[in-house]
Amino acid sequence: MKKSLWVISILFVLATLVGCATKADLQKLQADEQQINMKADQALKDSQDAKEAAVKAADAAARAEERARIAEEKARIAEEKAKKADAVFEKSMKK
Amino acid sequence: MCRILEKTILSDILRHLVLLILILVLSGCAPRRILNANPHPFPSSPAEKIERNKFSVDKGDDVIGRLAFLRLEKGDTLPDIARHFGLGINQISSANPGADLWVPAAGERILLPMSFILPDHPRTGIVINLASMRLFQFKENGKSVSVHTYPVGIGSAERPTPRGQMHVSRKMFRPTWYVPASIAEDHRKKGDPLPAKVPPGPDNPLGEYALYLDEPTYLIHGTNKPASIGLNATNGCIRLYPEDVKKLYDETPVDTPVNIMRQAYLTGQRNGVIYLEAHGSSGDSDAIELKTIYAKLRAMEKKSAHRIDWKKVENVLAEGRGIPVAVSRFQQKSGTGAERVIELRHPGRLYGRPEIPELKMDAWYVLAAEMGDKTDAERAAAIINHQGPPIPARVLPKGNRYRVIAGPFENLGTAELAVRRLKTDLEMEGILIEPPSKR
Repeated sequence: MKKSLWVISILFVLATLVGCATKADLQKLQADEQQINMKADQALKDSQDAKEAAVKAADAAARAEERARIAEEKARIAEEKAKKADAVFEKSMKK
Repeated sequence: MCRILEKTILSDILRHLVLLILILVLSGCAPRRILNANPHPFPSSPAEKIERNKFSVDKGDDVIGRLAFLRLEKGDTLPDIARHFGLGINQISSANPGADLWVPAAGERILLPMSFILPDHPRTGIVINLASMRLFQFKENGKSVSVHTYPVGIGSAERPTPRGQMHVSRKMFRPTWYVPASIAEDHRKKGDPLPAKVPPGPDNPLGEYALYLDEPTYLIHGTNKPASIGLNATNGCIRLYPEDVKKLYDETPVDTPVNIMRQAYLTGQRNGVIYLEAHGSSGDSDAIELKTIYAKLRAMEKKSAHRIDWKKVENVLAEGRGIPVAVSRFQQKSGTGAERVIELRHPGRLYGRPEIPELKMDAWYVLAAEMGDKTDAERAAAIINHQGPPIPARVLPKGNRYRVIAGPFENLGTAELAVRRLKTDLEMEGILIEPPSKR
């Protein structure tokens, strides 16, 4: 009996000790979770920012491309106009 | 003892003096050598004048004239520059690819191709190379030969200038133009019927002087459209600038031989250097012509002391800019070398440039076009100005648009004639503007 009580008390002490450790762990876990969540929020925000920046960059690139295309088109039209004018002039130089 | 000492000191001084002189002489030579090795590409101030038409041909030489650079001023057109320097439109535009013919940028530096390789033909009489659109008139003075050269306008693809050996059969000052049936028909179709004959005057396309060839209906003549020199714009005749045909007329006796040929590739030597001149890209020419020119160059290389740069040859043939380019590798020490390109001062007033009279409030005008782009308007005005006979035109800004206004015209009749010419020659729908002072 004495022996049994001894074993039970040891188990109880052990169980209490293990239980305390679990609580501390839980608190740490909660703190970690909170930090991770904060990090995740930050990462999500960063990701959204990056996405927005990428979209903006793509828009800017598309606009630049469009401007270049318009400039190219303008140059082509100007060259065509000059060529057409030269052709009309050459024709006008005949007798 | 004192004398011996004095002699020793004196000899030391003399030795040092000689050494010093030697150092000075040697150091003086060095900068001179540097100067000789690296001549400045252009003279410190641009040249005022350059020979345009008349050259003496040294024995053994085939290349005449020299290339020059010119900085354009505001309002210059390439046809005006071409005429002033005795060049055709074809030459100036080929030498300056990319430059706007009518509205070039002020300050742009353009190349004046005033150097020519003489055609491969005996140097007598008149020789016309259709490929370069240039006439060469050879004169023999005892042992030396001189050449006068002028740009020409030639026949179109539909009505080409005939080739071959001919001669001047007669000459005529202020000729009458008897309109050929084919041209009369063309004008009738355009709604611009011509009379059977056009008397001398501003409307006569033959200009003031004509040299008739023995090939019937073909002439060498002046023009009332000077801007057509350097174009395939004739019906087979050879056109010259009015100032050039006068000189040719005066210096060409009847019976002078005239040889008309087409040599797209020309080779020649000057001062021991081999030159190559190509008209039109090698892509446009036939293989036989190319084969012939390569064979000619190989033969020249064999005879010459210098090797040919074949890569350069390829480039010259591909570009076809109509400029003589040195293709042999020469050495500075041998005393041979390619002619330097000179920088020319802008002449200010250009010979033959169309004059635009001041605006008059009692004159008629024609609104030739209205455009949103200033350059387009300036180009249109320049083209109208260079018609033959000329039609004065200018650009007047109106808000954010630009109006091309032709005139002033003395009366309604001349203004209406301008409207007709704008329509038939330039496909422009002109609108009559009555005198601003009229109520």
